[in-house]
Amino acid sequence: MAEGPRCLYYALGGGLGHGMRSLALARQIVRSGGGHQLLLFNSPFAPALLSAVAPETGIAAQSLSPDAGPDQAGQRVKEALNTFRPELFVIDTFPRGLGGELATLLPDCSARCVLISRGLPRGYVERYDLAPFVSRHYHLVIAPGEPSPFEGVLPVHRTRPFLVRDWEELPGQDEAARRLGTCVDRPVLLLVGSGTLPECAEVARWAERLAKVWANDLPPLRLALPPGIAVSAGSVPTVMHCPLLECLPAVRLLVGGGAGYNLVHEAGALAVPALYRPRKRKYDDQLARLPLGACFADFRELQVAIHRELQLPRPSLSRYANGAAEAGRLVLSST
Amino acid sequence: VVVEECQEQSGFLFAHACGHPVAAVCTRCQKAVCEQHTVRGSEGMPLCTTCARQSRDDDGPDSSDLSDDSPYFYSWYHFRRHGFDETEGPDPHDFTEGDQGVLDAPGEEGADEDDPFEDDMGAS
Repeated sequence: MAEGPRCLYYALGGGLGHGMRSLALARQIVRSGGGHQLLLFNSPFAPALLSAVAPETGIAAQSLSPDAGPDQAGQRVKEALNTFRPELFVIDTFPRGLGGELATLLPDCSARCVLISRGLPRGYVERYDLAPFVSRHYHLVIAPGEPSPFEGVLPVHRTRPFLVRDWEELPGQDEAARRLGTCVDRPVLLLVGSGTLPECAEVARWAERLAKVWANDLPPLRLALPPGIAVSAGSVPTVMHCPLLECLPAVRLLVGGGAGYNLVHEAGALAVPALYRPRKRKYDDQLARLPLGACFADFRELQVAIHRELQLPRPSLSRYANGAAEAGRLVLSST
Repeated sequence: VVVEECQEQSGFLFAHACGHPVAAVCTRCQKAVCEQHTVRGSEGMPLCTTCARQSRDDDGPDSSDLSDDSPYFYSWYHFRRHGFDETEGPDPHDFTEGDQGVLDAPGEEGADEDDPFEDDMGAS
């Protein structure tokens, strides 16, 4: 397993998206090419990411403090480049780093640089001349299931969304149901807290409010939160499992407290019905990610949308192809 | 009665009054609309976005001279969940710029285009 490339992953940024996308790719590279993978992230949901990385062979992770500034982050990245000595440096979303800290590191970086290029605001891309920067310093640009701001300007390889499990790896519906504390014939309505801690707390409040008016013949209510955070939803059973994708086969309707990359693409890949409360982000256009009719703005709209969705027949789970596998092949063939 | 504010509803899923200054009157329904909600129909006649959509639905996408890149058809980085089928035209019922307004709730993370970047290591 040690044979193969040494890959360093820059996965800094809030939420779970950057870390899970990087983990999804790292798993595929290990599977196809072995080697050593090291993930760097600074999410406040570090316990969730670490729990997802822990079972993986050949993959390690280092968590930076969420309070670390660009200088500290840059120092840690520099240390990792010098000590880990990667052959590949995979950067998620931010070509210059979240705080611009990679701008001075990449010119001296001997590793081949790969950009996993999710959307970014046009103003940011233009103000910082990101396209010429990417052209100068990156050897490969991959758009993981969403448009890249560099398409049409630079060569960009499009793939399907990166998912942290292949279809064939998912547990059966009985195992997913067990994780959610239900049985196969009673799939749950799963409210999912993600994004930020206050947003997780808000979703927990929705769960409590729904529980007060919830009829027994409706799908059981469950609240899913990233492992390691201290939020309670009163009487609603809480599930802390990462990756959440492993629970989705037993979900009748998913309610996302945000519309982040993982949640939207995981539910979409499996064709699990889902509603989302899109959040405004500095760099991520969550609304653009959503299909028609899948979002709500407040608790009242949520109630109406749940009522509407539960009238519809439950679709069968959909098989999916994992864009991370395709990206892994692209990365390995580029070395 | 002089209408000074756009009478078009902004936002498809979260409809609310637009309220921007009036720039034209729809030649089909006589609704006063702002520049953003004005679409040039056949022979350049102004239509409100509702009538433009109706016209497009009635006549089919190929028979209208409404441009697909008209801003009311698109928000930035529009894309479809299941990929990149570039032969597929935009859905006129998809999100609009007005829908983005619902994300501007006080206290939420995020920034306008003029706000600084690379200053928040917790952003995403």
